Order: sequence, then C-alpha cells, then structure tokens
Amino acid sequence: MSAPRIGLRGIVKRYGPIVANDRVDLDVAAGGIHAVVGENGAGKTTLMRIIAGLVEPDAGRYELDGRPVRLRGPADAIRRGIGMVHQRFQLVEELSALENLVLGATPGRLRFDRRAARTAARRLAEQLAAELDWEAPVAQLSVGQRQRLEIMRLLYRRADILIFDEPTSVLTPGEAELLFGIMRRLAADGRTILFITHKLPEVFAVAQHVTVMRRGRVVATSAVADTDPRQVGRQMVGEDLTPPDLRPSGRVGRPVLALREVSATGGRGEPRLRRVSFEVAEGEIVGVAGVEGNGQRELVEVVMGLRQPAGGEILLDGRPCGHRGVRERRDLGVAFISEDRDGEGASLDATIADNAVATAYRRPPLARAGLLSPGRVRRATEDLIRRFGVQGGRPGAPARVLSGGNLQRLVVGRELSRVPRLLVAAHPTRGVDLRGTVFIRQQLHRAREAGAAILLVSEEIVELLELCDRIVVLYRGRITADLPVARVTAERLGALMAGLAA
Amino acid sequence: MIETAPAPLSGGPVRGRLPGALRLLAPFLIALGAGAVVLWATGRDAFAVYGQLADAALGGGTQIADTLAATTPILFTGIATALAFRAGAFNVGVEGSLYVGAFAAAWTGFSFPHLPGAPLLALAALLAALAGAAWALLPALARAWLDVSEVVTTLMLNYVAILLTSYLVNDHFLARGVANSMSPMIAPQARLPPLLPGSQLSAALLLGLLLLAGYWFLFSRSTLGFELRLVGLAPRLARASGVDLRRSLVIAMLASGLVGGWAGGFQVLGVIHRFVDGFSPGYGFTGIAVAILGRNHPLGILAGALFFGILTSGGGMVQLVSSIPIDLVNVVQGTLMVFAVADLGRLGWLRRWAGRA
Repeated sequence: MSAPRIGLRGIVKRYGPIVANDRVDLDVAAGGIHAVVGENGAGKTTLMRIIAGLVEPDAGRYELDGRPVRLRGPADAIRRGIGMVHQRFQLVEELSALENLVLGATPGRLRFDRRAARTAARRLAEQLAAELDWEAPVAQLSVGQRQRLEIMRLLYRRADILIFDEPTSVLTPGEAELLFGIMRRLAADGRTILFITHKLPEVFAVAQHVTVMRRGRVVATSAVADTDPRQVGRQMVGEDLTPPDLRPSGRVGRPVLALREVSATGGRGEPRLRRVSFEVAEGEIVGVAGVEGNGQRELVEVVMGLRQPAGGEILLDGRPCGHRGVRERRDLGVAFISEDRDGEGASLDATIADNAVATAYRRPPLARAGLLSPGRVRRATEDLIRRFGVQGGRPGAPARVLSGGNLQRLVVGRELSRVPRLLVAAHPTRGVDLRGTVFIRQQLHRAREAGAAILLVSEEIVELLELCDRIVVLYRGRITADLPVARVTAERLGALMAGLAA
Repeated sequence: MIETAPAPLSGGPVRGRLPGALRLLAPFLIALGAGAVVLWATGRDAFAVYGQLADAALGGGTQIADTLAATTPILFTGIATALAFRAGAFNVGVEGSLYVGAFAAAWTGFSFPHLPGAPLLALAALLAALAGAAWALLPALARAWLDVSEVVTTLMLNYVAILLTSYLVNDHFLARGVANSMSPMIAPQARLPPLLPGSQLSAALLLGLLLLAGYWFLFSRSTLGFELRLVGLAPRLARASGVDLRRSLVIAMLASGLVGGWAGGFQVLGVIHRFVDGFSPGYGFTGIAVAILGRNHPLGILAGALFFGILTSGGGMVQLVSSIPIDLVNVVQGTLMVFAVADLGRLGWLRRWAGRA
C-alpha cells in the first residue's frame, strides 16, 4: 500500500496549560473526502491549521506522501499544494472577484495580464460548474459565491489538498448542497479534501472517511461505510446523548408580541419587510423559517428596537412600542440572543464577567443607585458559568479564550438568567456543538414552559420542528405561511422556505 | 468592573500577552535603551547622564517637588485623554480645552478681586471646567450625529483655542507694564496654596490625585463607567444591550474636555497665576502619550505622568549643569512615545524570551 497523502504522527500542540492536540495520529488518503468531527474545543481547527502551515506543532511528525516535511507558513504550504478555506474568508472586498482570484500570484510581469487571468478564471469556473460575475467587487457577492471564489483561488494556486473549516456554517441549505457537489467533483479529479464539521448528516452525505476528535485526541478514524451517525455521535460526546423531550405543553397565554403590518427598508431604501403581521403569546415558541436574507435580520432588529420600522405597529403586551429604544424594551422584559455572536451578542475583547453582566449591570442586585458591586458581579458570573455549563475560562479572562459553543452558552445564560417576557433568539445554535445545541434548545424549552414568549429565527428545519408551537415562513420580506407545527412536515417547510407554493 | 489587565485602546485583537509587569515596563526600558544608544553615539556616558537626570529630578526635596510640579498638568491631561479613549472617542483636543480653561480661570481670578478666596476659587474652577467641556461639545455632537471624525475636529480646534486666547489676551486683557503677552495677575486669594514653599508645587497635585481616584471609581464602581467602557470596547454589544451610543460618546467627550479645562485652570491658579499667551509646552499632547502609555489604567496614568514629569524637570536641570543639549532629552521623550503606542506583545521573540525569563 502506498503512503498516505498526509500522515501525522504524534502531533502535540499546547497553548499555555491547554493541550489543543495531544499525540494526534492521522492518515489521509489521496483523492478522497475526509471529515473531521468533534465538539467545540476538541482541537479540530488547531489540527487543520497545523496541516495548512499556519501553526507549528510543538512535537510530532508531519509527512506528505511518506516524506517528513516542516512547513514554514501558509505560503510554503500552498507551494506544496496545501490550501485552506477559512471560516472567515480571506478576500479583499473592494477588489473584483477576478483580482481576488489572482491576488498574490498575478499573471504578467509589470502589467497585470487581465486576459490571462480571465482565461484562468473561465477554466476554473467550468471545472467547478459554478458561475460568477468576475468583474463585480467581492462585497457584492453572496456568501456562497465568496466561498466558491476562495476555492477557485486555491485551485488557481494549484492546491491539491483543500482544507475546509466548517464550510457549511455560513451557508444556506441550498448552497451547502452546491458545495458538496463541488467537493465531490474535486475528489473525483484526484484532489484530497479535508473538512471540519459538527453536523453528522454532512459527514454521511459526502465523506468516505471520518475522524472523531475529543479533548485534543483522535478517538477514532473509520470508513463512513463501516459506521453510523449514532456511533459517531457517541464517539464525539463520549456518552449517549438522548435527545430531551422538547414538546410544548400547549399552555399558551395572552399575546406578548404583536406585529401589525410592519414594514422595514434596507440601507438603500429597498423594502426588506413587507407588511408583516403575526403574534407571539406567553408560553409559546413561534419559529420564523426562511433562507438567510429574506428579511429575518430586519425583523429581529425591528422587534428589538435596533432599527426603525418604515411602517406598521409593534405591540408589547398590548402597548405600542415601535418608537421605543432597546433599553426601554429590555426594561419591559425583552431578551435577545443575536445571530451576530462575536459583536452584538458578546465581545471577545471584554472579559467573561463583562459579557455576563452586559445587560443586567444596571439592575439590583448588581447595582444600586448607579453604583456597581464588583463582588456581586463576580459572583453572578460564577453562578452563570455554573448554571449554564460554560467551560474554559474564569470571570476575569477575556471572552476570547472561550470556544464558540461556550461563548454562546454564556450569552444564552445572560439572557435567560431570569425568565424574560419575550425572548428574541436568532440562530441560537448556529456553529454550536452537539451537546451545546441540545442544552440551548432545552433552555429555550424551559423558558417557554416558564411562560416566556419566544420568537425563534432559524434555518434549521429540525430545530424549528422540534421546538416550535407555530411556524411562520418569511420569504422575500413577506409572511407566506403561518401554521401550527402539527400541520408542517420537513418537506413542506423546505418547499415553503424556497418560495414554492404552499 | 473587575479590573484586570487594562483593555487595549482600540478594542482590536489582543495578540500574545507578555507577563503584566513586563508589558507595562517594556516601553520605558526600551526607550531608555534607545536614548542610551543616542548618548553613546554622541560620545557621552549614558549611565552618567541618566544618573545626573535622576539626581536632578529626584535627588532632594526641592528636586522632587519640582518634578511633581511638572507632573501635575500632564496628570490632568492624561486623565482627560484616557476618559475619552476608554469610551472609544479619540479626543486629541485636550490641548485646546486646556487653553480655554486656563483663560477662564485667569479671567475669573483677575476680574473679581473682591470675592473671598473659597468662592473665587470655586468659581474659577467651575468656569474652567465649563470652558473646557464647551470646547469638546462641537466635536462630540458632530461625531454623534453626523459621523464626523473627532480626531480631525478636535485637533483643529486646538489651534483655534490657542489663537483665540492669544487674541483675547493681546487685544483685551493685556497686563499693563509688561513686555510679554500676559494677562494681569489673579487676586492673591485665588491662588492655590503651595505645598512646598519655594517650589512650584501646589495643591493642584492633590486635586489631580483626587481626580485620579474619581477616574478609578467611575470605571470600576459605577454603572455609567461600565457603559462607557462597554461602548469603547464593544459598541455593537453595548447597543444591543440598550446603551445609547450617542449619549455615551457625548458624555465621555464632555468629561474629557472638562478635565482638560481643569488642567489649564489649575496650572493658572497654582503655578503661573495669570494667563500667558502660548504657555503650554504641549501638555495636552503629552497627555495622549500618558494615556496610551498607561493603557488608560489609573496606576498606569500616574506612572506615565511621573515618567514624563521626571524627564521634563530632570532634563531641564541636566541641560543647565552639563553639556547635554535639551534636544537629547526630547529624543528620549520621542522614543518613549513611539514605544508607548507600539504593542510589543506582537513580537513573538520578545514573548518567548519573556516566557522563559
């Protein structure tokens, strides 16, 4: 048997006291799709960054085709044919797609040989069967298009090992399908694909091999044909996760949030919400289903007071509040889990304690008469860390040390530390690992059973069906369906989200 | 609220971290090292010069008093600048607030000679504060509502303040019988009491320390301070949490200008006792270096102000008693500012070295 394309032997990487990779062995065969799964903080990303030459291991051997190598940075890696598609794209928004494609390896000597670049671009687009407006600045491309551009950029640099870090976490379901098609095509051409995910269905949809990581170690590597999602899930978590019962008890009270013909416009005055009307009552989760970009963001902002509606009425407990600011609404009992975790939901530069009290710092017991008690803040933070299982940092540490899933637990804990009147939750489990996802859904369920009204914006059909009492579908800024969950199936919901007739 | 390592100014990514004390000391040490290179290159014994400098600044009661007197105005401007920086407002107009504050204090001091001491001092301090805050108002409003960069407006308004006070003193309030452009002396009862007779050290230092304590209290014990800090560190989180960004920005800018007004006002009431055209050797700008060097941390601000105070008073003396030109002192000061703003934690080799040390 020939040597594997990539071979890792006993790779160790430490960050201070934390061992991110603990004696990791990994073989990746040429010409296949190899998935790496594990919970947040299992060490997947560190391992991929080592393979891509972004991080140097503290110990261990790295072999390409059986020969040991030492990578001197990402430029060296790409020369050897290894490229990485990051979660945050490495594109220059002001430059056109074409210019981004050739950036760093521009054809022509002194003058930019635009024609050569165009020829290369056309060939790559054909190869991936993906069309792109090459003259448009990247800022105008959709997320999926940007990702395809990143892939083509690596191919342009002749990469034959492509590493994807949670590539689907930013994609809509349709775009994810498109990406899987591209991945299969690349593998069929003999390229080697490594990809990180924590969505098991993706593994079984595209990969031939799967490696499970837990707490910095490789737990298992198997052929996908020889295993099943249940077994992989158990390997990831280290135990059986029985999904909790999240069915609503159906004790629905008076309406808390009511939207009456609410409209909103985008930055250039284009309509984003068109006469949206629906209600959310006490003890009820109403899901807003829809593909990203159909007005969800605007809907959330209008409800939270972060954006002025262009028309219509928003009522909280029967009182009009369209003109009220965020603070007044929060004082009325509105809580908010933002989709923008690193920015609106939390700050990576602020301490964990600052993040934990960022919405409660003005209220007793933390503050009285404008004076803040540091002791109470610390205790409240420790309490929150304990109750919501936030792992990986003490109150005084910057939130940057937390993994994405633990940061989201902190945010969820902050917003649900007391039962809100209304919770606005936008993609609360996006990018969160299995265990964290189960936990967060449980918390939403618990808040509902305690009487909160919950507006849940999500693209995950499973999440919507599992949690919601009612689902409204948002398509191109309009509510195209408003149905009790019992009358919806996954297929029907998918069709509605795609704008097909109800 | 829980004071840990001082927050980075920009709220940008904190790369590697050096051990705390070393991180704060590194800019001082490197600046002194760079200064030593310059001294040796010009054929002088760096250790001897630094010895002389330390001796001139700290070698006795009078020397220490003069150093503290030199520290006082930059302690005020350092606090003033840090107040704005913490809330994410880059106010570089403290120099302007200092001038209008100084003029307001002087005008009060010589216009109401019949008032008794306490009310006269209080009135002078009040008007200095109002003048300083007023000078920051326009840039604050322009940034909050029109998104005009406060860096440009506050920087430009510095020159307006310097020229405006120059015009006022030369054309309307010129003292009789003096050659220079200065106002009449303030009434004797309007002077802040000296702390050490024969030196320039006045009670203004105590007011500065009190203000520093207030600064600490604001940012570690009050909800207002928490909000301002959150706005500076994470504006989008602050907004989603219900903080009014415009209001916070205006408050921070006004507070910064107010303290800047005091910086000038107390320099007049405590030291020069009149308004002198162009009296500031850039106190407001040194305050920027102090705030950055001190990472907006109360103790850091104090250390930074002291450091520049030592350089100023020691440097002046060294120049008098030895052949070291004042320019060399300025070179050391300039070097320090460069290293003060640099984030040394980004240098991998330094981090590794510090990790082993």
